[in-house]
Amino acid sequence: MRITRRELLATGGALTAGLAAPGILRAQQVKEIRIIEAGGKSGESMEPYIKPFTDATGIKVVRESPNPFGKLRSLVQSGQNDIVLFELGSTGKEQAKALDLIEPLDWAAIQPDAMFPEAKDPMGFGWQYYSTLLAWRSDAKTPKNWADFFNTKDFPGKRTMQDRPYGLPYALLADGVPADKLYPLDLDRAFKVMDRVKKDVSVWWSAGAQPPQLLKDNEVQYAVSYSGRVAGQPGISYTYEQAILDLAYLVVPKGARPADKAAAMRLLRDYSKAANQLEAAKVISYTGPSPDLPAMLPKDKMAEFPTVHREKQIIHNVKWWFDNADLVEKRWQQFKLSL
Amino acid sequence: MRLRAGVAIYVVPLLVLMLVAFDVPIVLMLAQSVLSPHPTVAHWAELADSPIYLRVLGNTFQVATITAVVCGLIGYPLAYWMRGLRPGMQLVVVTLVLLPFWISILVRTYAWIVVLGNNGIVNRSLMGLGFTDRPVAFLYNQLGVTIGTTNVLLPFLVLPLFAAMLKIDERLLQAAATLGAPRRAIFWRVFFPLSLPAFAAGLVLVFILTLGFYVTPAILGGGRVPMIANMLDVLINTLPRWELAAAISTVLLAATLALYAVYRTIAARAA
Amino acid sequence: MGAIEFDGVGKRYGAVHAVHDLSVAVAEGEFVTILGPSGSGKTTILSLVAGLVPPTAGRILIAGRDVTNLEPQERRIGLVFQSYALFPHLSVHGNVAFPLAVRGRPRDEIGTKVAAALARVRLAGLDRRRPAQLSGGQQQRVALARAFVFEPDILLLDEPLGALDRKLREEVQVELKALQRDLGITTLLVTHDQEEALSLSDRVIVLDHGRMQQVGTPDEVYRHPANRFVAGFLGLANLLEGTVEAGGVLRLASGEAVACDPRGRPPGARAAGVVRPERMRLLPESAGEGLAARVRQTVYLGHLQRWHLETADGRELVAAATDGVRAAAVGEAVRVAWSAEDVWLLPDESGEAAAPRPALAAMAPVA
Repeated sequence: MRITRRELLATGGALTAGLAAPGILRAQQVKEIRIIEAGGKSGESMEPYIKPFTDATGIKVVRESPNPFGKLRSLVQSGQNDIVLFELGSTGKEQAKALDLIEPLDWAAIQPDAMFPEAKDPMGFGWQYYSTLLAWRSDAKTPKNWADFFNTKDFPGKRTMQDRPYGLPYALLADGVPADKLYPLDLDRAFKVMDRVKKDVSVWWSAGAQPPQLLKDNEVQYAVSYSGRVAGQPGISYTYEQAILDLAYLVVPKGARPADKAAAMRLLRDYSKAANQLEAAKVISYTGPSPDLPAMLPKDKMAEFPTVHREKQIIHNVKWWFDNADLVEKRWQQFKLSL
Repeated sequence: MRLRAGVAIYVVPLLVLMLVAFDVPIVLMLAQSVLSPHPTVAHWAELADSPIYLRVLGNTFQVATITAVVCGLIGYPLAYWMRGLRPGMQLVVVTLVLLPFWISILVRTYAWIVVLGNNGIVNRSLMGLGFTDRPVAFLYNQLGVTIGTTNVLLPFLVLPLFAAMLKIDERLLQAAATLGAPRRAIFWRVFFPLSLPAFAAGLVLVFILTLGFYVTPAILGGGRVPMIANMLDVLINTLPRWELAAAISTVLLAATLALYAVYRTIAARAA
Repeated sequence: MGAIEFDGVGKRYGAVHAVHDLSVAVAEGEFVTILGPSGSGKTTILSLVAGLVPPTAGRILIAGRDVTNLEPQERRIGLVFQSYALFPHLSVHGNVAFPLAVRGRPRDEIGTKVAAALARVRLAGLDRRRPAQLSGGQQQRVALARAFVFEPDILLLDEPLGALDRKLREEVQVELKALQRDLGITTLLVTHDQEEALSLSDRVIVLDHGRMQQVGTPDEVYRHPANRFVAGFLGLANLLEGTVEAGGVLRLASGEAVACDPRGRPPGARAAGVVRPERMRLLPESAGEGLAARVRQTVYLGHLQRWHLETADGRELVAAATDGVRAAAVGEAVRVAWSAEDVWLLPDESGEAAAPRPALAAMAPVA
């Protein structure tokens, strides 16, 4: 499903900045809050949000990583209340909601600047957009879209795809399914296409660092990759055409201390500010949820960022993946065993 | 086992700690497969109905077997060779064997890509020397997984085996020599049987550790070699189906315990 | 069966002479014991014969064959280790069958020979047991059976009784001697136990600091020790130092005269005489002969009674007698006497401590 500019702007518009919240927070004597995030460069890109928050409130933010879903579940089920924010993928957020592991955000307290609509979820703050796209060695024959990626005759070379079923929509797009008719996914058809190409997929990757490395090493010529991993890499080309746009959320684990949560809401306000998002984008080529951000990005680098290309992309269908997780997983494992 | 009261004072708290902090949580975890959300056999029925899970389990056992055998084939001669070295040299070689432990498993895994990839040192050398026209596929297949797991797990076999070999009484070998046994007979009739319990223990250890392998098979196997640990990760962190994961873990634990029982039987017979 | 010859055999570890210039022969069928304190090099000698360590000098011959450069496997020796070195992973049968199996003997021959050997050491019926399930004495007999079952040329025993308790040791000594006689096998035994050496051997080689001090029959080495070390190592010895005088008298420093056989020593020569405690007689103070002494301590040993005495000039003497003779109480003044033929003047005329001399080695009767 594509998102129109009109929809985007519907929730846009700047809100006034927070009032006397810092004073209130200090009175409650929250000295530090703890969050769990994905780690790596993505984790580092949180600092441009945290620093202004700490400067304004005096509250330290302790980051921990990594953030497997099982950790959230055991934290909540064991009754801890130390962690006030937890980073989850979009599907993870749905699962957490279904398992009653997270509590609603207090959007009134956050008082965010303008945000894209899917980022402003009652249960989660979409803080970071990323795309999964088609990348290739610049010296290989240039593909235009997924049809070319799955056309191993005219685009010879080895491929690498993610070792997860999330690439199935690409197979359907390659087979001629229009983007707006993608869901519900026709699994039989998708796997048929996968079967056709599987002998040319030499690596099914599990770490985001693998695709750019495999391209550089000439182990593969074409890759499905996270956008931030290939953006700006010499010798690697990519396209946002028919890429899947998804976002990572910050959620509040159930049972978090109210004072901590209040502080966290105040922190999320800093996450909504386009100026902070611009700083974060300098750390890693993923973008924050502000519709104002694309225009602020440096002109020469603008093409690297996911939200700049919203219209070309397909938003990850969280609901379908959540509803069909079991089924897809079994089919996927079956497919993997047929390799 | 009888414990003297003095000893019990020290041991009992540890036993209780083990029980409460380790055993009980495991049992509770495994119990989820029949108790969550209410007493049911549905999860086990699903496991039985989904041969896919058992096939991945079988595949994992296969990888573990191959790793154990390769570790054994490399590790035994290595430990035997180390036993014959001067003590000073032994220290050097033990350090070399231990060295990989100080390097992160992830770094080591990626290091293999640098060494064995299409553009790696080995392939470039082979092609440069004219042994082959196109790169040899060391990685992203079963061979890659075996290379990776063997590299990581070899010390777990070599070090205990080496220690056990050092403990073998030199006089037994001398006795065999004076009794007329040629070198081969001394090795096969005396040395090897005496080192067998430690060797078997090492193989079982490598086998069990391979079952839990995650990063190495995923990356060096190019995702083509499905392992149960990766599947459990999906069941725990992605789906999430903890009940099913608990059922599979129970099967895994039972298989491991069965293997351990087999090993104990062998060891008891050898002792 | 065969003799063992040592021809100038030496073994050095760096600057240390573990064995120094050993030349001696063991006759075919003879039972010879190498006796010495720990560190005297006796086990090294056994290792040299077995081929476990190479000599740094000399040659070793077994049954006339120069084995100096042969591997242990080629030497046809049966060696019983002090620790027995039984293979823990093999049964009693497996252990005893081992030397036959590695020689590729047929199965039925192995069965027969192992059964016979086990019967010979009275272990029939235990052949399925593991060494760990046997007592020390049984393990020792398994080791023995394993060492002779393949009919080696010679039998080497390294402190074979060391790990057994005293009562068992005496039993096994008798058995071992009988077994060796039956088999007629040339046997070299190493021990630090002088009683064991004297009771088992045809001849004894006394060793100290890697050098042979004396070789001779048990009677010879006991009664006629070559030097002070041998005298002291083989039981208790009373040492009387003095000057030889005409008429078969040794004049002690205290001025007392002791009757002895000077064996050709000229008058005025300094000499040391050895008298074994059991040759000393305790007499009442009123007796007209012997040295005056006082009883310092008495030791009751059951079959023996020992008195530790102090002479007027403060020297210590030990007298012993079989139980039942007149006892002297502690503190009692006595006289102690002996016959002239019981005094053995050490060949070393000065009586100084046993510095090794070529003359001693020359004394060794080389067969």
